[in-house]
Amino acid sequence: MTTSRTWAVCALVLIGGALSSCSQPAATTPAAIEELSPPWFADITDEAGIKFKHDAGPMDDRYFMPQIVGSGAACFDFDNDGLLDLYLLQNGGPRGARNRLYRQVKRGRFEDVSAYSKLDIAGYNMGVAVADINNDGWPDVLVTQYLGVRLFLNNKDGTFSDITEKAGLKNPHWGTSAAFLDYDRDGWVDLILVVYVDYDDTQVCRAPSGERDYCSPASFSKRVSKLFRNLGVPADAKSNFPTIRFEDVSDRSGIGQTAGPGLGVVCADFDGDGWTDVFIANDGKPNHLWINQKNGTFVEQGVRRGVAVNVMGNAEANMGIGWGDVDGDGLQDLFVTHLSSETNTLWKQWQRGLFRDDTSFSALNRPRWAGTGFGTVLGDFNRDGHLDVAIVNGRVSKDITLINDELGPFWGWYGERNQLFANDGNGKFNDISMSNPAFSGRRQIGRGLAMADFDGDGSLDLVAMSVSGRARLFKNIAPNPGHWLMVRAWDKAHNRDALAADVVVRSEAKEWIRTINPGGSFLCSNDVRAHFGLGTVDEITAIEIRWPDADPERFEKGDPGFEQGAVDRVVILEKGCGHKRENNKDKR
Amino acid sequence: MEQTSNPASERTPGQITRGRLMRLGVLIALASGLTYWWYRQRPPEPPALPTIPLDQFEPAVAAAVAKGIDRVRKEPNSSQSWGFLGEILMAHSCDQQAEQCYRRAAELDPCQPRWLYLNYFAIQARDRTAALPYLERAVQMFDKTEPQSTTPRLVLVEALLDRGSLVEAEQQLRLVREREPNNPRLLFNLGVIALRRNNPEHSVEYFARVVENPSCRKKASSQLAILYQILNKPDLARENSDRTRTAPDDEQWFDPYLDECFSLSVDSSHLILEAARLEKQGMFREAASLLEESALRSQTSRSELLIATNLAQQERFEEAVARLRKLAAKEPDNNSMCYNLGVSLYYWGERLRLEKPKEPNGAAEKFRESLGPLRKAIQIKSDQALAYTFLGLALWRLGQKTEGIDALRQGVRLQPVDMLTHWKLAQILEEQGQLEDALKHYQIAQRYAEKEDHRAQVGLKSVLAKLNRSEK
Repeated sequence: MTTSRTWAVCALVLIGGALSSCSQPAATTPAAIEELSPPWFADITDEAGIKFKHDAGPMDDRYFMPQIVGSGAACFDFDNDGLLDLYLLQNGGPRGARNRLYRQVKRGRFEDVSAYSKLDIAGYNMGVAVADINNDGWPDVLVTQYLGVRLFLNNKDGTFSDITEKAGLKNPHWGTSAAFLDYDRDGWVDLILVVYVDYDDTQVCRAPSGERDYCSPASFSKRVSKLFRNLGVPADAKSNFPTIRFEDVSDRSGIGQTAGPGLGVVCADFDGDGWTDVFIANDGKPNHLWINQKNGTFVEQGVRRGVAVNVMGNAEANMGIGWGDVDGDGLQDLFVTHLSSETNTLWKQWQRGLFRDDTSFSALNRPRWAGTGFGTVLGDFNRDGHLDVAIVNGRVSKDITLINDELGPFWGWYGERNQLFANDGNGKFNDISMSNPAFSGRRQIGRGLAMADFDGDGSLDLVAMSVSGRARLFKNIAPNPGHWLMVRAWDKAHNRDALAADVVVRSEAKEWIRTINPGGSFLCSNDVRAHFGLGTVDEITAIEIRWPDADPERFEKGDPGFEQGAVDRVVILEKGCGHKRENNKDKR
Repeated sequence: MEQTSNPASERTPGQITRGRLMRLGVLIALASGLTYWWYRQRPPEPPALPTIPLDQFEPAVAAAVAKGIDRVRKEPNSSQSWGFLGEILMAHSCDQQAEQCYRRAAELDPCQPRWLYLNYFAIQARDRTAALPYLERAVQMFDKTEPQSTTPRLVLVEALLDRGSLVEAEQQLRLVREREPNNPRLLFNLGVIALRRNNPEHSVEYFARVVENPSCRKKASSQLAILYQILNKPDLARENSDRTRTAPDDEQWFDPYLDECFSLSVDSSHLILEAARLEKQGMFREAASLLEESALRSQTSRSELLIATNLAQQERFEEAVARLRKLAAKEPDNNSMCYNLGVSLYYWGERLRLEKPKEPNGAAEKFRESLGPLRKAIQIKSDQALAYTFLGLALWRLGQKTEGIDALRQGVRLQPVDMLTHWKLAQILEEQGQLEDALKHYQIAQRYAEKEDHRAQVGLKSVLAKLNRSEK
């Protein structure tokens, strides 16, 4: 028996010795097995009649940098027929393909009305912004370009007129995103036009391995963004289309005094003083947060308010922007997309006007796969009362291991898959990309991403743009969606949407906040209405609107536009029809 | 005699006793163990080399990679050879191929933490979660092989902070603190943790201790700006915010393993970057030799252009202009060639003007010659602010004062944050007697001047004196 034990011990020692030599970690960490759930989006591009393929210009050894930045899209109702239409941008240069305007003729069906509308311009078209610049109740369109800008006035008959020159708009630089805001509270919407870098297209750039590739913005000097003040329509104007004029106030306002390679922009009240501020996402440099000084000037406070750099103090490649209250604390948060070698960053507003990088808590830094994020939107896609995140991805430099997939030999090096994250209700996110093959299953070079409820079913749909790829329309099919509400905040005196107004919807137990702002994401313009998922809440007690230029108003059951307090509908609330509330500094 | 019963003797043939079973079991276990041991210790089959597109590399890079491949082919069971190839590949951005090499190197020498450590970097850009176990394992092994090396542990701390694992990060920091309590990277990370723990006072202390460190000057300043804002000290918040904007970019933290890896980089862009750094310090000759070497490795019009502009900066205008003229003739639509030719001619003219004030024709000729290429540069790239600036200066020197000022104003419009254009415009306006306008541009120039650059300040004082105003 003793001998047997000795033998056994010897054997164990030997085996143990063999096993205890230096071991290596497993080649990959086994990822948590995602319970595949029903998808939230279906690709209905073909059924909807959208046949748009992005033209990025010639695929040659120039590696013309504006190609890789891509183009955006706008979701707006250009003919005021109650159905959202779609404007998609091309980037193939003056001799390339032309932008397309798709009119929604019945719910979920679009027809191409580009030529008639006169919005079918060619060029290096980058971003698009939509707002009513002359307060006539019809949305007008601005397109940013590489070395240009175009402004189109809505003729109210399905056509547009190019009034760029007449309006005094000039941009000899590389324009990217743009947004409208009324920064001086004069009733006319002004324009912030983000400018990228002083690109020199004769500069040859290479990857460290020596291959030709697109240049990085670090190769060029940064530029200042532009603020154009809308001078309005003269009071005595008699024409149906009086000339609108813009004045370049970049330097005077302060915004033109600090350069940054800007890509994304969002306009909202960041410090809670009731005045609209401007956040600009800078590529590889600290972000700028321009705080409105209420006297026509802005002061840059990105660093000290915590949104310029990440938690480690590093400036990242800031591109697309999402703005919304992800944790339901009544304070809006900021989400910005970055390169695949970085993490997308969520800055939570933890005190009014102060933000901190809370990405790790949100788990947004632990996706199933890394991607270079561009367009991004925060929307409550399953209407459970909590904002989710959608991101479109695509590289900006070659990954030589991605050879020749469906994108072809030139673009195949840059393709990546999109991502979708579901909010668990506490401000933490689960990566549900695997369950959404329509949105996330295909490699493409994602750039613009916009959201809107196209079919009027109360759920947010998505439009994704990709470099040299098809524009795709994704219908929201999330199962068991909760109740919803859509709010349009209408400034009756100025006959237009109240841009940058904050809308707070209250029920007995909960409240939600959204900003009226079609800008954001990357190069895109979203549905101007504020969308609220309400979960199981089936009755609203009040809606408060914090107007960007007046005291907040509270709308209660019985007030015009909000008679019933019922949900699952679109409500239009007009300024001056609610109950006034004294504006205090901290509007919470 | 009573016979003792022997159970063995009672066995029927074919029956196996428990003892024998045990022995058999042990033998099987031993054999298995030995087999497994042999399996672990045997020289493994050399795996295939990763796919490396050598034809896509510039020649010097291809040669370096080929050298690494040869070494692996000669010594397929050498951990060092595979690791070296991984380093060469990673130094040239081929992270995924490097990953395969590091994995092989670590298999061949499982007790060497360096390959695991470098593999963490090769993987982390693609998949942070998958990369982390390599770093954790490397840190454990470094503790045995190089216990004095704290860098890998600090990298682990940052990876843990990135994941939001504060407790684990703090545990690791404690171990570093025992060895190197004043390590600036340690202090910076302690500051980050204190900030995350809502302890702004402590956080300020840590960041203030490292705010002058070249590896975290900018980072620490930005953190201090946030903290002072939280602590309701707006002046200090503003001061640190300004420092974030003006401080030079932070250098990389010292990392002996990564630094060694990237020192293997032989691509020309690496040399060009280094040359640019030297030029910024005024070391033009030293930069020139790097640029020549870069051109030898990869001769392109870009490398030729860089050599020519370097010559101009050394004030070897004749050579510089000759080279630039050739380049501009070869690529007439290349904006950089035209612009740099114009600027070099302008500066040549300036030197002649100063050196030979009694022979103004020589200088004027150069100014005149500069107009063509500068106008061409503007024609090619209409938003090129500095082309307008130099065009304006050349016109001014040629006596075309109104046109000169117009061009400078256009330069200011196009790049309103350019110190040089504002300063030059201010000087000209001052000379013209337009003092208020000059004052405005000196003030703007001063706003954008680097810390050590007092040119705008001098001009400002001069105008203020003429206006009989004080600086306030």
